[in-house]
Amino acid sequence: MESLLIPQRSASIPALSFLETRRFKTEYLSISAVRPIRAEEVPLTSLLLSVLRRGTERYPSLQAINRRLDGLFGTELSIRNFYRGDYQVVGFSLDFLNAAHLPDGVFPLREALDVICQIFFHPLLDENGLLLASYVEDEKRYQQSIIRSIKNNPSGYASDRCQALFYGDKPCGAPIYGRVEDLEKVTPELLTAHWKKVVSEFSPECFFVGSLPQDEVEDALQKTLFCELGDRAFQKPLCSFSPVQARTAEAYEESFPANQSHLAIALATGTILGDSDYYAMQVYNELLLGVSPVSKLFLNLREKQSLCYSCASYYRPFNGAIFLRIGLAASCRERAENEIRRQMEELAKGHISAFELEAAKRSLATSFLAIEDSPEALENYFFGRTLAGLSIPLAESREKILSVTREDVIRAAGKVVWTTAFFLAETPGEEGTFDENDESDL
Amino acid sequence: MKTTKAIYNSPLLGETYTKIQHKSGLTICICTKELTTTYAFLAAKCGSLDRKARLFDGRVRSFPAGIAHYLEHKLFDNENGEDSFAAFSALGADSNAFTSYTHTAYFFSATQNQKKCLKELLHFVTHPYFTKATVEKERGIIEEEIKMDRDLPWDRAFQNLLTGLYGRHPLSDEICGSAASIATITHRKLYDFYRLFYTPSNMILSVAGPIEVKDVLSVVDRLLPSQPETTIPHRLLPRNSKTVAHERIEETMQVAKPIFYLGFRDAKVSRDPLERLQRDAAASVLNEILFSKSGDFYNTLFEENLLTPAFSGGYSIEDGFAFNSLSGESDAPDEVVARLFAYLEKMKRDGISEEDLERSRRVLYADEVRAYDSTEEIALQMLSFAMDGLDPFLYPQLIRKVSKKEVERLLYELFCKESMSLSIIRPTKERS
Repeated sequence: MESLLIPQRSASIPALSFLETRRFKTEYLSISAVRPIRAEEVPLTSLLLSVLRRGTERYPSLQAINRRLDGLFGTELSIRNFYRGDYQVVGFSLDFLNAAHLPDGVFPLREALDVICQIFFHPLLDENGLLLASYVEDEKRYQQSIIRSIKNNPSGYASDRCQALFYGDKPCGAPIYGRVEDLEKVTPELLTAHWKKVVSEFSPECFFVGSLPQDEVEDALQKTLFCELGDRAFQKPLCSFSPVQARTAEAYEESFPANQSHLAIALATGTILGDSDYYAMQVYNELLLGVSPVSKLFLNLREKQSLCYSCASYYRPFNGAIFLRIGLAASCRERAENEIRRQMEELAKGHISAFELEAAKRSLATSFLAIEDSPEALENYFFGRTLAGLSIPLAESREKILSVTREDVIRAAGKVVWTTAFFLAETPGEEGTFDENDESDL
Repeated sequence: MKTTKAIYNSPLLGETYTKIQHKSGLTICICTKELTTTYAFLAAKCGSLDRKARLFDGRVRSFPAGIAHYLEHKLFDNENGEDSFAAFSALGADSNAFTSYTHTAYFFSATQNQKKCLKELLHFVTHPYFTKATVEKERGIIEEEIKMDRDLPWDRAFQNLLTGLYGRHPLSDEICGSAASIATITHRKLYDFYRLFYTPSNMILSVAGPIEVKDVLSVVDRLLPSQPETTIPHRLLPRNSKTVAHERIEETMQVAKPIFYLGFRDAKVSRDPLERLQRDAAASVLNEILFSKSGDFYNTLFEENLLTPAFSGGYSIEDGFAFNSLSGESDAPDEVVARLFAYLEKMKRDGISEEDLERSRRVLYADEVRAYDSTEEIALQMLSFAMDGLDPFLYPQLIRKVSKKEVERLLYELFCKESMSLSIIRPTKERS
């Protein structure tokens, strides 16, 4: 069992967690800042990251930045912009080949960190010291297009609406790209001021996974990122997560020009990462639906009643929500909702076979083990726990999952409350261009 | 037949795999890799394009659209009433399947009980059991899958592109088929299709992960007996004609911005798999040069708000068909097409620079190396190359060898107006 995959905190750079492993052909580094979600700031921060990526003093265009990274043997630089509970994580990540697969004399880490510093600290500014107006306008338009494109995927749209309604005024309910009208008001002056604020508040949390010597990573960070940041004091991010509270059940419906309807349901569990019932709640979700082909809802909704093809549920450990999404015919909605309620009751009553419990636990235990196979998944696992002030090796998570009992699941089930249902009802539009009876000419 | 074994090494990738021709006729690829998860794919060489085949007695048999995919759904059923999903779950493994144009694959991923999982995989795929009733019950589920796919605008745009490029050809049918075509599928047709294509000689097992060759072989030896001779079905795949069926197909859907797919049908599809692979490598380098986020075309049009970051380009080649496609979002897809031809003319005039060629080769080489960090990717690569009797380690070598002359020749061959089709999904409100 791989139990050596435990990150160490660097002595010389307290903001760096270092996970040494020779399992991969690539190296991975993330640099993140954690900011409490403020609804008015979130869309601005998302926009800022895109504008900064457009051009820098040394690499004045997106193309120049991309070509520089390509030259470093396909080094991938990604923007990090996501929520963990009521916090927004912003920053960058790097993924590059390790020395065994590079020609002598090529050192992507230092060079790619230099590109990040260019993007974050030295973006292209106009003669008035403002972010370029053309870049700001382009990216505003694109971000507005992303917001409107949510409807391109009906299932994703239903899920999104359900989450927004469920979260309500809670900070994590603020859409990460904002609303179309919010962006209209953004000017280069406003965004430049926000950039300066984000830079001044930037307290990075760095996480490295790979085979490079620790001192080499520390040296590269010291000479680039920490050199730019100067002698400011750094704080280990410690977030205070809390579960979304249950409310009286509420139901919403919208019609949509599509062939299939979508039912999205939010359950409040009152249980987050670090709580005593956390692992039991993971098992509860897997027993109810998860992505398991032997879950109660997969078997009863899909296999026994043929009500749907796609169905899945996801447990959000930082705010304690379970979201279900099911694609089905509008006429099947009531049967599906009744079946979901019935299966939730079954779980609460402890009607769980030994096979079901074992299969759910083993599936989750496998998922925890599989994290070892991806640098990014390792970072994601440990970074999330760092934010919650937890230090839990993968092997421990796996063991705790395997030790969950039926009684634990019954107790967890007793906390789950059906809170929000959103139904996106199909209204078939025009016929497609296909002729159903067209026999292909073979 | 006898079992034979060959070992392949790639000093470039630092990987080794073993290819076995098993006495049952099955081809087996195994890459022992020190990661945690084992992936195993068992695939039959039959996909959505297999709509006609010559039977072993010489007769020609036709099948409805979607039959390969329908069979994929039903193979998980077992005679004891349990399905194999449950069996894999009991072993702590995940399992699933997919159908492509050319093959159907069943797979599991596991961090323990690998040999038991392999046994289950081999068993359920080689022991079909379904009845009239269970086949009927599945129809509703597949109908929902078809509806789901039809609501996805990018998928719809791609499917319309294939219709535009190929017209009356199985590529124009969705892999799942249509509600009308699957209505004609019966349990008898599924058994007929199975018996024709699911012979060990027509199948490949590809395994990557912390598992030894001998362990895989011991399971296969126990489950698949030796066969006196190979029985490979005679696929009657459609021919690759030169002309496109429709220059343009437009449809409206609930999208924020028009989505387009632009395709160029490649008439030069060799019957030789190695030649196809070489063309694929050169076309991949050319696409990276012309259409990547580092190239002039994307960046110029992005700056002018004619393209968004959703833009990409790529080449697909299989025995019988090949095309190059570009996809993206744009308020003015026709302007993008006009600018594309102007750009291509310029590139033809100026030639490909050595700098662009080297940059592209580096990026594609990195993509190849990255793939070998994932046992899923390794198993899939071995599988897709074994389908054509090729070695996946060849590909990064071919990428390195792609010459300026080759990509410049392809620049002339691949992008002709006569072989082009444009598919656009416009926002619903635009039409009203």
